[in-house]
Amino acid sequence: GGSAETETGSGEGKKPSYTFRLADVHPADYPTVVGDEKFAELVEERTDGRIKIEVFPSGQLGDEKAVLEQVQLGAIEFTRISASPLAEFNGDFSVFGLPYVFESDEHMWSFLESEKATELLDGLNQAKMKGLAYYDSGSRSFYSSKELKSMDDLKGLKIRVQQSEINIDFLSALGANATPMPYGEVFSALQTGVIDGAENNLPSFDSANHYQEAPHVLLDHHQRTPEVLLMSDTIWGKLNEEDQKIIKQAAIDSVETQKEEWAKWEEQSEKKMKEEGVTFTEVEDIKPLQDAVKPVVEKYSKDYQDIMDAIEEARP
Amino acid sequence: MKLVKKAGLFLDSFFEKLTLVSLVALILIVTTQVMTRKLFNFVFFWSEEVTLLLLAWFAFMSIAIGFREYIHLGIDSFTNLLSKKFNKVWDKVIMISTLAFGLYLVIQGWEFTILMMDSTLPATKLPSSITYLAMPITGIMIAGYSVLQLINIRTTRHQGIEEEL
Amino acid sequence: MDTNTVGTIILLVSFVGLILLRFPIALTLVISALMTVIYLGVPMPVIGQQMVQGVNSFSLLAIPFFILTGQIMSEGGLALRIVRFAGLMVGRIRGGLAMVNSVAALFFGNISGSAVADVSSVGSVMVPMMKKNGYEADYAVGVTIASAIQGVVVPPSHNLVLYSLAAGGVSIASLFMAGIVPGLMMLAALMVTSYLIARKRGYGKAEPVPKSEISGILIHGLLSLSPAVIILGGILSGWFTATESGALACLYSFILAFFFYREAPLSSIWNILKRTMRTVSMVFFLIAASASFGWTLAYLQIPGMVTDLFLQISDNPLIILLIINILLLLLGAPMDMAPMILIMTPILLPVVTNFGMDPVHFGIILILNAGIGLLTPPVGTVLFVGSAIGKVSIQQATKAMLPFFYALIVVLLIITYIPDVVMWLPTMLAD
Ligand code: NA
Ligand code: NA
Repeated sequence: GGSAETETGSGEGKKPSYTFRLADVHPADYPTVVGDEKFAELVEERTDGRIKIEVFPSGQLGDEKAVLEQVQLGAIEFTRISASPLAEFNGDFSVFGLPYVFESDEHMWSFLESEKATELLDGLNQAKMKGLAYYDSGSRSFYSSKELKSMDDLKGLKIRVQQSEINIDFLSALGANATPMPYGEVFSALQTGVIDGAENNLPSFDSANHYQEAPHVLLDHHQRTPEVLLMSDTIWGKLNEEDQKIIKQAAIDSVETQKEEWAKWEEQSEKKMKEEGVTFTEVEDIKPLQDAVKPVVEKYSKDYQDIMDAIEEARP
Repeated sequence: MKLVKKAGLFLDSFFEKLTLVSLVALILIVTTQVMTRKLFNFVFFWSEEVTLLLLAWFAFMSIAIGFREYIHLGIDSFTNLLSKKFNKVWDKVIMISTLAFGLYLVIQGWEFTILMMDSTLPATKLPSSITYLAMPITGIMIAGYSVLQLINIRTTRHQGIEEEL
Repeated sequence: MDTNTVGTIILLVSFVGLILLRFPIALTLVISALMTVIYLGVPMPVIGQQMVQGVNSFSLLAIPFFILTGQIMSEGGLALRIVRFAGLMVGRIRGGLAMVNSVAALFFGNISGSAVADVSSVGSVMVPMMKKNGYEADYAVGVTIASAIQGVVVPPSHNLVLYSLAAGGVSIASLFMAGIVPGLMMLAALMVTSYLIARKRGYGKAEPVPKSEISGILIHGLLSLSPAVIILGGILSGWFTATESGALACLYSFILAFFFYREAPLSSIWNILKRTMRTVSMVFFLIAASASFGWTLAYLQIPGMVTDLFLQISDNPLIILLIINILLLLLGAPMDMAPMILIMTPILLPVVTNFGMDPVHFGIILILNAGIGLLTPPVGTVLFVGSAIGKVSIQQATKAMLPFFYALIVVLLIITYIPDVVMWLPTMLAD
């Protein structure tokens, strides 16, 4: 890759030095980037400055899919991305796009810390990527310009979703109309009534100013899609075992910082939203919803029943 | 030889027509998307993705045809100060660089296309490489045009519509 | 020296060197980027990947749509009707034909957003008409080319779409709103200038329009302007995206030109499409190439370095903006519009956002600078096309254009230093 590779020291003790790059689409103060920085710091510390990782925030090197391709190629060494585009590289990752498969954050993390979830990361080597760790990205819920007091209020509304067949089937199972459109157009579409609502996690709902046009939030937490910190498998293969160990461990150790940062961020968003007059309604019982989307989940989860079983087992 | 020329010209016209038709197709797809969204409250989930795919191909094909038509020109204010002889040799240098660019697209573009074979586009589930295939294909066209230009064959085929560029 | 510094030198030196040596700008961008990644040991296919990524964007599609609409309008006789419509509005003022030219250019360039298309369509009607009515050829050319620049600022404008992309997705609707007031200010500045020159040179008024023709001219003028209304109305109301309104405007102007006015045969659509493709070819190659060049810039962290450099020179935004304006005007002398937008946006935008400037405001400043660059030698496409149409030398055209050039510089300074002029409408829209 584009790593400035030099040999330091001499004779037996000589160890390689590298400068690596880590791409993230979020701005510098975002929880994932704080996690990236923590990871870079730990690696540098534990290799006595031999391995430097420069974090490139704000999508400077491209959007998530483009950066993933660069990681496959070995042009960029690291990236932090959402698990959802990973489904285009390894079908098993589409499990994170299924609705209501995790009951709570604890349920998700209990799964993410399981052996099966690590296997899932390891499976990425087929696509020339090395999965290092999972980061937190909260959960996605619905919001609308119309009042949302219960899931029944969603019926007939035009809701923007990310472009995928699962989402379209999922929304129609709830009786709503899925309207896929680029993320950047959602604000003006809410403003003009082209759509009645959308869905996202709270920090995005906040930072994209969607709350100004759609101040009714229904916390159904329908999807929990974690973030993934990953490395180019080509570059990984060039590292010696010691450095591999340090990198893997540093990634895992950075998760705690990222989770704390995420929790803080989410709390701040919620507080700010409440001050702005946004109404929140928590969906207490998701069992009926799980029943409603059962055919959708069954349709798409056929290919990775083993993962579904592991999720079931991870239930706290 | 005559047959080769005829076949080449036919293929070239065919690609150009295809490029122009894809522009028209893009207009129709986008219009359909507006209509279905406004009138029937839905959008074909593949429409944006197919549009983007077609756009990338249209863009690369039109770039290649631009080389055929000598549209990608440089700034000659400075080289005009240099001798005619230099400029003549320099023309060849630029053509050879263009050829090298074409070959880059063919070779490295193909390599990348192969690498992208296993990942898919989110909506249509077509392989991602279908977009990147535009690189090697237009690379062949660009290399072809620049070889012809190198052996002093004028490649322009647009007559009488140049001035309004 | 460390690898990044050497990489930066390779990238910038090869870029400037090859441009001076007549390499096509887009090709230069790709070659410089390739040489740099080869030196850095980054896998070469990344440059091709970025070229494809560069043209893989939905809002980019608005560009061929706007250009095609402009082509259909000019070929199908809509441009001529806009000229007549403008004549009705300002023809009876002293030096009126020159003003007709400015108003028509505003309306027409309005849609195509391309100053070059504007000169060739409006100019080829107006310049001969002005000459026939006793205006000097060089003056006719001067006012024509300066007027054509309005179209790049006044919405809809594919150059604003280009900026929106280069800036990483600044709202096209906001940019379009922001361009309205500066565009009208340009019109006012040009009209005042032509009035002053007309008095000095003793030019008269245009012939009055016979009463019986007025309603016809009005109706057809408005009909011919309606593609712009579709685009603007659609975007500003939020009904359509820029791309969608572009597609609708294409279809609408096609029907109007080929089934209603029927001045051009249906078969001429092939030539219209070919012409569109020629312009698009140039613009898209630049977009693709700039994407790979921009990626290399980011990889070497050059934008951050430029921001630091500017901060070392001054921390006063007024002075930084002055430097940027001078820099852009100088760069505009040899550079064309699209490469200027695509290359300078990623470098300069972080500098100005650093002191809190709105990317929308900066976009309008950048576009006007790049537009003025189309008028200035040694490379001014609009200057060249204008001289060709008026059959005057580049020197003559340059001299005749100067008073208008100064007028546009005044507008540039106003919009730079009084942000409200630009930001008032988009801020209203946001509320
Ligand atoms: Na315009
Ligand atoms: Na110039």
